[in-house]
Amino acid sequence: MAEEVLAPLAGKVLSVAVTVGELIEEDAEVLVLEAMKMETVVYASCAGTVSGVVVKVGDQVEEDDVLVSIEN
Amino acid sequence: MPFLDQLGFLSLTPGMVVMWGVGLTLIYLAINREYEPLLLLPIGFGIMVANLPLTGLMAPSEGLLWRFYHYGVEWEVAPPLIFLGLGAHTDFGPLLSQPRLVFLGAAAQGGVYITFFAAQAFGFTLKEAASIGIIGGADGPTTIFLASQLAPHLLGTCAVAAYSYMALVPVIQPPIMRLLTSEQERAIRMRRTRKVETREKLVFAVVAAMLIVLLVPASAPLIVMFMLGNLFRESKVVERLTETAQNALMNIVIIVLGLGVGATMEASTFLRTDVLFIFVLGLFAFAASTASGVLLAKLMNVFTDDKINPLVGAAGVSAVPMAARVAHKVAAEVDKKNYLLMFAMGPNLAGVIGTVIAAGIFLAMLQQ
Amino acid sequence: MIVEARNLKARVLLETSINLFVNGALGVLTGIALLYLAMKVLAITLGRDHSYHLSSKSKTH
Repeated sequence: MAEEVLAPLAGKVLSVAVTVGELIEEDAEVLVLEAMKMETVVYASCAGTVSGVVVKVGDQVEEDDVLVSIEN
Repeated sequence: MPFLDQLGFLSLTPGMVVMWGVGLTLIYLAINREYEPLLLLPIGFGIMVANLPLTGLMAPSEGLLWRFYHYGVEWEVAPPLIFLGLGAHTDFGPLLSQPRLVFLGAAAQGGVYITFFAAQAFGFTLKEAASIGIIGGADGPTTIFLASQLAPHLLGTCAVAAYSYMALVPVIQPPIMRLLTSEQERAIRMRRTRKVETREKLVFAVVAAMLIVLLVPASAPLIVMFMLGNLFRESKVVERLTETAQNALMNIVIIVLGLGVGATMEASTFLRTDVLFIFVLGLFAFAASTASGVLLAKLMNVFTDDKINPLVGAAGVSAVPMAARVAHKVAAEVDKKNYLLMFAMGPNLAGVIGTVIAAGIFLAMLQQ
Repeated sequence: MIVEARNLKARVLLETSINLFVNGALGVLTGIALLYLAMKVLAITLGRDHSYHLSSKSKTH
């Protein structure tokens, strides 16, 4: 079953820490968003294999946009 | 010999040299610690040059810095123009999606009034006490606006106190926030916000300006410019104006304002014991405002099932967006997946409006 | 006489400052409450949350 990691707040993608096919733990760092000139780390909502990275560095995301999907 | 008579060295006083130290300290803090560098750097330099003898920089109706001060600050031009820029930077979305959080911005004005009374107990006059109390609102331009009208001799001190404490928000606020909340409270995750439409933001900017001005006409210069800037931004049809208000105009005004404010700090007006009290009271004001915001959030939780994380109450002191960031970070210490930033922006913006109203009422009642 | 005058002055000062506080607190609360109402009205009339919208409309029909 795939689970999607959603953007907790609107902001710009500063860096992406995972790649497709990578095996990650729950709470692992997925990517970093910048909002209000502050870096906010987004963590994995579950453990599993990264099946898709929807955003890339520099993208502007809205709250609840899908960032990454994880197959578990 | 005319040249020797004009020699600056001969006219130096010890007070001037001490003021260079004050100016240098601010310049140091601005550069090395990045404490509000945009303001503290020109203020620090302004202090230093205003304390050089025989320059005439602050000579009434002649000096360069006097003109900056007179036409910028005394004429109430600079703070409203800064508010125009702030409005152009502001997104009311987070506030509009959680209207109830607006009350936290009112609660955080508690520190303003507590300090107002405390300052009187220390022997300050009503006008001085109001200018000192408003430091608790954590809003630089509003502090300058009010102090320049009510207590010009304290303007420099109040401005420096306000901006230094705003820079110190990440140091001052967290201990108070942790003291007043339990770990469970700090871990509260707030319910997601709804999406806010652009037309809501547009109407809000206009309606809010009219309501506040109808209620407190004396707050008009600040609130009107703030909402105009916001209207520029949300209308999306005057991006040139938005961009100018946000950057070019704001930067020009900051230079004039910083230098002008710094130049008012001459040794004779600054090197007095009551200046020390102002700094102590200003810190107290910040702490009290933080506490009253957190406490109101806790009180609201008693009456609602949709719990508020009380940390967002601390963002009711203006200091946009530092106070909101602090609320976010303190919450993340307990639960790293708790994202409070956008929830904290609501009280943060409400705090700006609350402080402007408080300043407007002081002004209306004391300026006669 | 002097003591009395001083007391009177102190009392006037206290009254003025309490007056300032009461007016200030009332003003800030009223202002913020007005904004709250404005935001609520905006959310109902212009917001995308149509559940509000429809229910408020159905009452008028």
